[in-house]
Amino acid sequence: MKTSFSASALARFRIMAILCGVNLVLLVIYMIAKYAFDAFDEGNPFIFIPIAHGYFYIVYILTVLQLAVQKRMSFLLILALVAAGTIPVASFIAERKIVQKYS
Amino acid sequence: MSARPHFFYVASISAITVSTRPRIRTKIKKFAAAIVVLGLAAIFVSLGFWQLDRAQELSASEKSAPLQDQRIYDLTDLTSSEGSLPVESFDKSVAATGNYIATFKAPNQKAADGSIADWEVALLQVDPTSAILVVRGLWSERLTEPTIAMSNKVELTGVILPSQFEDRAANTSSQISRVDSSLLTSSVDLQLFDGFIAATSEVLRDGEIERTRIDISLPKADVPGYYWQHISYVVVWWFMAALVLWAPFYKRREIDDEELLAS
Repeated sequence: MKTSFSASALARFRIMAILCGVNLVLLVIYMIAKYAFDAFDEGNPFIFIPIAHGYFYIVYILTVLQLAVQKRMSFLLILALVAAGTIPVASFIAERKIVQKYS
Repeated sequence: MSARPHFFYVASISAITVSTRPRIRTKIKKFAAAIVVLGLAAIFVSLGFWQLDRAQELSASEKSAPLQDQRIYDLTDLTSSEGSLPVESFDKSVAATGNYIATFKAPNQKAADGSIADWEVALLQVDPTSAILVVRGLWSERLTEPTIAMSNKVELTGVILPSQFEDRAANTSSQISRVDSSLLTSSVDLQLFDGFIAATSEVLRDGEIERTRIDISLPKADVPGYYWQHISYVVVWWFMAALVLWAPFYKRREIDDEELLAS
């Protein structure tokens, strides 16, 4: 069965919300380990975590905007979803609420 | 000219006033919104530029010199006592001649190999009006050879480095908290060069002074994070600016998203 454009936009948003959420949780652990316990030296294998955060977030915002335009969301809701990508765990909550409302 | 009743004019003026007031209010609101939008967009754009600067600063600090410059420059060819030390002069070999006029202890200093020790730092007067700080060697070796304690004319060769910016100890009259000539400006009546020389050889009239020399690495930029991390934030901030500029043109369908936000 062919998936509708709107459904795939929702799927893209869900994937990015989960990815962003997981990355943010990892980033929090990374920051605590780095600055509180001085755990990482230069060239550590986990540097992808802070670097990936910015790029995941850009793609996450794009998926939010695509979904927002399709569903004609209020601007306040768009802002809330954009902000959810910067707060640990908030993107998981946002993903659940959006799925409940639009799926 | 036909005479019109007075109440007609009053009614007309009232009608005009009533109809223009909301329009003026709307215009003021639109103007205020435009100012807010442009202000926010400007903030986001400048935040993007700030991150771009940090990325470039990081990139510059991580670049290693492709070839070690073996040439020994005269101190005044690279810098002057009137300005700050140019970045392109960092880590270059320099030669200077002069007399030591003061000696300070620089405690808890870290060498390139990671060893921590107290250093002997002296002020070398290179001409009647200017002087530069010189890291001569270990503080513990300052009296081991009599020639070291003498303040004769010295021909110095070393590596020029930027001033330190982190204190490693307290600042007193005989010791300096960091190797930074700005700490001495109030107590020395000379123009002081920015930066300092890490001596690699000192030659007196009697011959070269033999002592342990200290290898000092260039300080790393005090910018946390990674180059591509900062670049991603540049994109995020500029994207936010674009989002703010797009916001006033966004038209939403009348649906109760507020319910979703409230839930």
